[in-house]
Amino acid sequence: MDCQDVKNKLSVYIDGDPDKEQASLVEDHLRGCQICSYEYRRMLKAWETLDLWEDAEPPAYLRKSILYRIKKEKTVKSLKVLIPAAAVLIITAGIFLFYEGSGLKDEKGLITKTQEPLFQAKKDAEEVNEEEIISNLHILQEKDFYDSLDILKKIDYLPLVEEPYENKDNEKSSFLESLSV
Amino acid sequence: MKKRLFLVMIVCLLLLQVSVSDAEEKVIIINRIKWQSMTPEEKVRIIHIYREWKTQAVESKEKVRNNYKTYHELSPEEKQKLRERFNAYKSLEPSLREKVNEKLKKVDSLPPGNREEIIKKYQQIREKPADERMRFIEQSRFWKDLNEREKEIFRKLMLINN
Amino acid sequence: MEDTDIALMSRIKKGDTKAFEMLLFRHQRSVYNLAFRFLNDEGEAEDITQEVFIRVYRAAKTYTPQAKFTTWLYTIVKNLCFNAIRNKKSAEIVPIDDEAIPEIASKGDDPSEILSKGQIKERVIKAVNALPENLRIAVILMKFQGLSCEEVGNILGCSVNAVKLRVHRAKEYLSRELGDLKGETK
Repeated sequence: MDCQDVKNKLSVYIDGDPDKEQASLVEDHLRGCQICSYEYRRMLKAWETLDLWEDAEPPAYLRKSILYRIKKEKTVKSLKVLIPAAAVLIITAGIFLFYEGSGLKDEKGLITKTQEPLFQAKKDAEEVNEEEIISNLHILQEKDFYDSLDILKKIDYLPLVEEPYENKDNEKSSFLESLSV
Repeated sequence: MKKRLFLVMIVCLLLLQVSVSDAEEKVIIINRIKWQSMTPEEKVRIIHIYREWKTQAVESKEKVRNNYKTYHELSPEEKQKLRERFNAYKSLEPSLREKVNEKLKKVDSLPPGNREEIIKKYQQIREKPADERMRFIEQSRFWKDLNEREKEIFRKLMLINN
Repeated sequence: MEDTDIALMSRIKKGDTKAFEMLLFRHQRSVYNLAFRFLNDEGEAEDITQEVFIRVYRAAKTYTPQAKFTTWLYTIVKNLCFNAIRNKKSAEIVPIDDEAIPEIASKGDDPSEILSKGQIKERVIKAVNALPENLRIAVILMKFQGLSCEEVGNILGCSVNAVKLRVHRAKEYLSRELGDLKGETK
């Protein structure tokens, strides 16, 4: 194991490499190499120094504030159930008044007919949670797009990703050098 | 008269709903209206997507939700760019799409030295005009490995940037 | 015997507010500290802690345990923290340079100077905050939340090797920043 290999393994070694064979190779090297041993001590010291940043105590009001918001949320939830229920009642009454008053009784049959396929779709929807669909509709409608967003953002990085990885050294340098012209 | 009264009642109800809602709830109100006005065929399509969505891990759902938010915080030009890229991305065959995804995963696993080098070069290339950038891309190993049809698609995918 | 997090979640699902209080008591400190260390802003850490628990409460209804509860919880914290940062910055479409390590933050500091514990702690905070976001979150989750590489990978949505690499790069930077400090470091 040379110095570069050891340097690359120092972090894992500090965290306790589960690969005992690798760990013992690093240890052997550290015993005989002053430079790597210095790097190791420095990294270990830095990592342990982080312990000085102890946990902070969250402010006491934070818990109360969260519980208050939950309580409020519960109230709003109940309201949300009541308002649509009231809405359904009023709208039904409204529709009844509207058709009763406007003399469109002969169109009623037509209305029922066009609602038949809708009823079928509703029946399908009943097997699933319709409210859940509604609250996620903005995402469901374009799920493929939002799913691929991370990739779409990175796409023009593609031709470079592979270069230093798979190219032979001469090809790599010629391509990368040409970029800095 | 009764017709007017009916309309006024509906508007009042909608306003009442909006007043007790925050931004998230407004989205739900709009969604509800959209859902109610969808054709049965559209509903069936959405239900199909919903069923798949239900089987996804919480984390991946959270990722999609975050992507939705990120997208809506972008400028109109950036949104347009991503939309155009998506159209090209959609047209990729599944095997080619998998190829793109695999290659992008490599970003995370690059060794430190190579990664820094590549980031530096990438920043340089980003500043360059589209034709010059295309010229560089054409010299890459990645590009040379593509067949003519793939090249055509990738050209579309990458040059959409400008 | 104490209820597990998952058991508490299923009690919350049934409307048990006491279960929510227990869950909050159990995780509030770690959620707050994760957000605080990442954002280095008390106000924002408080906002995020509130938002996280509101989301947990809302999600209880549909929550299905597919991973360790804390993995799911910290994923929400991480996402909200990244959103908070993103909202501050102007939207950058290709975040490819978000792991580029900046120039040494403590340039001009004398490494031979003997520092007090408080001064070293300040340097620690400064050094961790100078790390790019993707490296910073990996360090915080591993070092301060005590998670394994696998768990960190699940939270960040990347492979174990990618986590190791990020932590390695962070340690290299931190050892340049903190490895030569002289003073009381324990």
